Amino acid sequence: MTVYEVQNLTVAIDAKAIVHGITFALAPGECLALVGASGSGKSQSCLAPFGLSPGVPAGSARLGGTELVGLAESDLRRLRGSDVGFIFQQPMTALTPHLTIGRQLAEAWTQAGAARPSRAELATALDRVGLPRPAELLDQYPHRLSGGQRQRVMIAAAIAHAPKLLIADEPTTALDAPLRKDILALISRLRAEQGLALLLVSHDLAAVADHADRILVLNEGRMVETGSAAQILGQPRETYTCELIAASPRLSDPPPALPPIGEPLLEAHDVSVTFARPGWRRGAFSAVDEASIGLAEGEGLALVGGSGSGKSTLARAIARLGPMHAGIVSWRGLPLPNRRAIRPTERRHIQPVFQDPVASLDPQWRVADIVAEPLRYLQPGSNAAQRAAKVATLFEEVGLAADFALCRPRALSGGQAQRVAIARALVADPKLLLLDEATSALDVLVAGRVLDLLADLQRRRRLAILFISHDLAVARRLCHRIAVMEAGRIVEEGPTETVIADPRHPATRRLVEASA
Amino acid sequence: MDPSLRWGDGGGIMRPPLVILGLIVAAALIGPLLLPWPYDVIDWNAVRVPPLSPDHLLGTDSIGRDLLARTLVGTRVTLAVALAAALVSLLIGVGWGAIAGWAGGKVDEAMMRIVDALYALPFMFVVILLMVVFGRSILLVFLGIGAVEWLTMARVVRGQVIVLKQRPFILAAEAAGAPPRAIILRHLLPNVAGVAIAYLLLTVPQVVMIESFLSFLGLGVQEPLTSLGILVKDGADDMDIAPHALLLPGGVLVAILLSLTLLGERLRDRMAA
Amino acid sequence: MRALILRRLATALPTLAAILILSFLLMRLAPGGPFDGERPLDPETRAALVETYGLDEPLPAQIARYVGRIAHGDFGPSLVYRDFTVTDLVAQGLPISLTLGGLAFLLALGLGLGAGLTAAAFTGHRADHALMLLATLLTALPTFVTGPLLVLVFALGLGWLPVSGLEGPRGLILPVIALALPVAGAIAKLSRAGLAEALAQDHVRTARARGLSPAGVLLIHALRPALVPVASYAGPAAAGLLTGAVVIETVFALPGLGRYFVQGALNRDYPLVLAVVTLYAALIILFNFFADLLYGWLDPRARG
Repeated sequence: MTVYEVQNLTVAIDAKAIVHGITFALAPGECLALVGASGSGKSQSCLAPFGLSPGVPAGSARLGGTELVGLAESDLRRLRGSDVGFIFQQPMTALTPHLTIGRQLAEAWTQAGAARPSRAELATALDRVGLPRPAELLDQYPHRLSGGQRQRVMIAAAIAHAPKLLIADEPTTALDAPLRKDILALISRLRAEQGLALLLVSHDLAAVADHADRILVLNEGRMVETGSAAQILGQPRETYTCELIAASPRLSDPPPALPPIGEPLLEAHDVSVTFARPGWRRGAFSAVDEASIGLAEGEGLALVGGSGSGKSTLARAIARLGPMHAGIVSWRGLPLPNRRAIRPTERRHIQPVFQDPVASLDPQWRVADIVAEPLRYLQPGSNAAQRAAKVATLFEEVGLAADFALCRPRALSGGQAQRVAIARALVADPKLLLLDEATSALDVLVAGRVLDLLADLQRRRRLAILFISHDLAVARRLCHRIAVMEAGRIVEEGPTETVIADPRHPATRRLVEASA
Repeated sequence: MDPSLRWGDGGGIMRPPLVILGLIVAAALIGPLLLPWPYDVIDWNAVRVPPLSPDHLLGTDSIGRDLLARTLVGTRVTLAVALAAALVSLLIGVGWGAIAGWAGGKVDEAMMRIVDALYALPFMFVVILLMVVFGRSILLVFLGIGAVEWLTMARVVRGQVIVLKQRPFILAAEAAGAPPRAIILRHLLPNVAGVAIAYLLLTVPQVVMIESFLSFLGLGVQEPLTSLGILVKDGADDMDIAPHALLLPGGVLVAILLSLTLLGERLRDRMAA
Repeated sequence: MRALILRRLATALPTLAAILILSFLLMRLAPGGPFDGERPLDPETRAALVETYGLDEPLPAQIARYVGRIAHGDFGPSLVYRDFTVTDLVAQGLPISLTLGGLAFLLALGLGLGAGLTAAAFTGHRADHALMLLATLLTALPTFVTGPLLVLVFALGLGWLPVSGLEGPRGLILPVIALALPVAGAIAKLSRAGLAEALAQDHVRTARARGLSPAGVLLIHALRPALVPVASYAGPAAAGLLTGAVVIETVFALPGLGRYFVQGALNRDYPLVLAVVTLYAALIILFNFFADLLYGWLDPRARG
């Protein structure tokens, strides 16, 4: 008996078709993952039949026999309340800020037509999703909870009224790596306990691989391939599916080949960064506590850890883009002056690429000027013609068409913008590239191609790479060694494959599990 | 220049106000030079003449002065004061807001506390108070009015600077070797300019209203100079007999205010997008 | 919540104190003022001034005396209305101004919220555009234009309402409307923007996904965030109303505090002018204080 059946569903926004005829069916207790790049229409195809998106559905979508397409809003509303549960992508904004957790959670009961729940029932619901001290949480406002906690509240509200179908739209994309595993595991467990049908939307094939019974791959609104999880992942038929799989690296894949290492470049000893506590509280806290790392020519070092572990702070301190309160950093044996005193001749050695590609480019500047900026200050002897020639060379090197030169950043896609950022970082011929989560904000396929580019550049230019990431599988592609950070300290360090195969510290183990 | 600000795009809502504003400004600048009648000649034989009369296109006021000439000169004065005062508020506001936003920390907190405290004051009254105390000079009018409006500009600019400071492109400029002065001039200010101009356009109507209000109360521009506020007051005094003396200057005033407000809002919405 | 109240008081009280001291200093320093000896004063007034302000005492003592007197509601003698003290004048004019301002505020709130929320409910349709254009027009119309216009149409033209003066409550109708219109326009725009933005928020989608009716979504989840911009505006609105009241009282010849203020300003009646400025500043600070409390209730994140 099918819980949810979709036949030839199309969704149009402003009369333009976003989704073109997809078909699938979901049985009770089954999990179907809709996978595709952003813009592939996966969210729209799930939300439109239920009236939760600006898209207009056509075709057929049956929930337990009731046809949703063309159904009146009042009936849809009733179904939403009683038969379906929704989990959305952004937990930070999904809860109403001026209502307490308990108040919002109680709505799940009342909207399903049940009586108002007692405090005990609400507390039990929160406990089921793994939230500590549930009774206290009931009276809190959402802004006091972390992203992970808010998502658990959303999950509790979504399943409280025992719906037949649970739709989870990218439930973990906005969360940190270790949390992702936990939340997905939680959803799976609840599904098993309640016999729910689960429609899981994600752009990350690797993440859903362990939880989905069946997978449906979407590209630009069209079905590419569908089948059981084992079949799709093990024997993909379509090129696009193969590309998707290749772009989501897993730790179980064979280790990639890395370029050879040259002589030592960077040495950082006992680096510490402390900040004053915000607000009224006294004292300081150590964002980075006596960390030491070293890098040689062509070597990649991954700095990994959860959010708040201090990896970005450490990297910026070393690159002289953030404060450093203790420690010594030297380049080729000579001490590197601190952020105030550093000179252009020293700046050119270490260049950054940041996480948000578009925000790292000045929106008022043209691309060519953005890429040329480091040359103005770090190679003052050059004239305009020389700079223009260098910029053109870089464009070629990062795979950007020459006619992007006069564009403004707003005209670029995420991948193109990141290539511009990489070109800018390389234009002054640095020897060390600092990649601060440089692919985390990009779409899976795009991120894969950017990683390919970076690996290529690493090899050709013999670049040392300091790679900050929360994803070990991605870090492997570029990094010979891994340093794991927790609470400001480096808790484990060693060759990549060794650390992954045999993690010693609990923080490392958590990361390895999360990326597996 | 931002392509979306050019004439063709989005002309729908921006074109009519621009045209009207343009016409008024042009008329105010050139008009008095073309007219044969001076604006301050009193003619007891032509008191309260209705509009469309042979010698006086828009009629005359209660002591025979030609209304068309007076309206044009009045518009000139009003616009001049508005522009000067708006520029004062721009300079103070941008300076204050940029410094507060860029410095951050205690400096920012202190500067913004002052802004918050001043926001609560009935500034209008303080300006009037100052005028009472120090006399009515045209300079005081400029400064006083400008000083009323800089608070919002400061807040807006500070907010924008804080957002921009977090953006990685500022850090990237530092990594590229740019010194702080270059970062502020070439990266920060261009990105603040858009918002500042939008709010400038919204400030000008406020300033026009304040100036007119002061003139209406007899505390602003002094005779023989006239401004739209004075004209409206004179017209209001007489409105039971000669309503045209009120409606015509009043109409021009409203047209200026409305066009500027529409333009400023449209620009502000564009900046936010 | 308590933290918010304490924080606001911490800002409000020093501001008030600063205003008091500043006004006193201004008055003492004013050229051509009664303390310069430039203007000839009759011995009676002179003696009264010396007594009130303690002119023969050191400056800090004078300030203390001044603040003390104000705390007791004594603002000293009026320089123009020789038979009255400033306190008398304030007692006469303040109730009228407050009534005018209060009624105008209520009217503006009602009209503004009504128009704004309706427009947001019909986002994108012609009703929305029309209402918002009207609201913009209202904010661009100065009160000293609408006031006379209203008189022109309704009093002189149609003869329904009195031209000026405060014979009875009917005399307040046109002034209140004229005063309320610009503020109503601003509130309409703010509430429409607020509601439109609130309805586009993620948490509203969550509420809809839970099966909540449109009314439920609006009232429970969207209304409070929608009112936040209006609450932020409450302070400036009060300032605007007080300022506008001055014009309205002049135009309609109402014996409110604003009109005394204008007369005082024109005639350099310092004690009166200072008293009004101080009073109005205090009122606005009070109003801002309550507006902040309201803001804290609307958005728990601001409670800190």
